[in-house]
Amino acid sequence: MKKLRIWKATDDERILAESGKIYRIGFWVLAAGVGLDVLIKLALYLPGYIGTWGVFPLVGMEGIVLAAALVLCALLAAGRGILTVGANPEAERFPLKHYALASLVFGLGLGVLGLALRMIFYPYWEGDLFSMILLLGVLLLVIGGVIFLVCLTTFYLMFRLARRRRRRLEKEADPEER
Amino acid sequence: MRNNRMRAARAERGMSQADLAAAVGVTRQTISMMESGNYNPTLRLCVAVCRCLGKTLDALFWEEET
Repeated sequence: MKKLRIWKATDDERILAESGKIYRIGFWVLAAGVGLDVLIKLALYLPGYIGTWGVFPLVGMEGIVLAAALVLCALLAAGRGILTVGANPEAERFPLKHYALASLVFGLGLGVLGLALRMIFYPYWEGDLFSMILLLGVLLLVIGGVIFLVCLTTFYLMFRLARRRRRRLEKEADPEER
Repeated sequence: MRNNRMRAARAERGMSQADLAAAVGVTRQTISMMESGNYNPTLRLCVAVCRCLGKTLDALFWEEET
C-alpha cells in the first residue's frame, strides 16, 4: 500500500500551482509545434490535393487532437464562468474591439505564415509578377478572413457560455445578492 | 517578506518544518518558503497553519502598514 501511495498526486497547493504554470508552458510549446506541423503540411500539399478522406490526411490525428484540446480548455474555462483569452476574464459585455483585433492578428498571422511557407517550399510561378501578387492578396484575404470569422465567432460563443455559466454560479452561491 | 512570527510560533511548539508540513498536508519546502517569504500561501493554508500552531491569522500573518 505504501508503494502505491507514491503514485498519488500531491495536495501541496504550492506544487500544484507551480506544476500548473510549468505544464501551461509545455502545452503552448506543444500546441505551437503541432500547429506549425499542420500548417506546413497544408501549405505544401493542400493546393492541388485531391483525397477521398478530405483534408484529414493533411491535418492528421495530431491536428484533430490539438483542436479538441483547445476546445476542451475553452469549454472547461467557460464552465467555470471565465474566459482565458483577454484582459478581462469576467467581462459582462463582449469586448468586441479586443477580440476582433485578436482574431485579425490570428487570421493575418496564420495567412501570411501559410503563404510564406508555401512560397518557401514551392518557389515556382509561371505567370507575371502582378498576377502572383494579386493571387497572393486574394488568398490572404480568403484564408485570413475565414480564420478571422472562425476565431471571432468562437470567442463570442465562449463569452456567451461563460457569462451564462457565471451568472448561474453566482446565483447558486448567493441567491439573495442578484 | 520573511515571516519570523511563524518561525517563532513553530519553534515555541517544538515543531520542525517537516512536522508542521506533515500536519497541514504540504511539503517541508512549502513551509520553508512561507517562512522565508518566498511563497504567498492561500487563506486555506494560512488557517491550517494557524490552527496547528494555536495562533490567530492576525498573530502570524497580519502586516501593519509602515
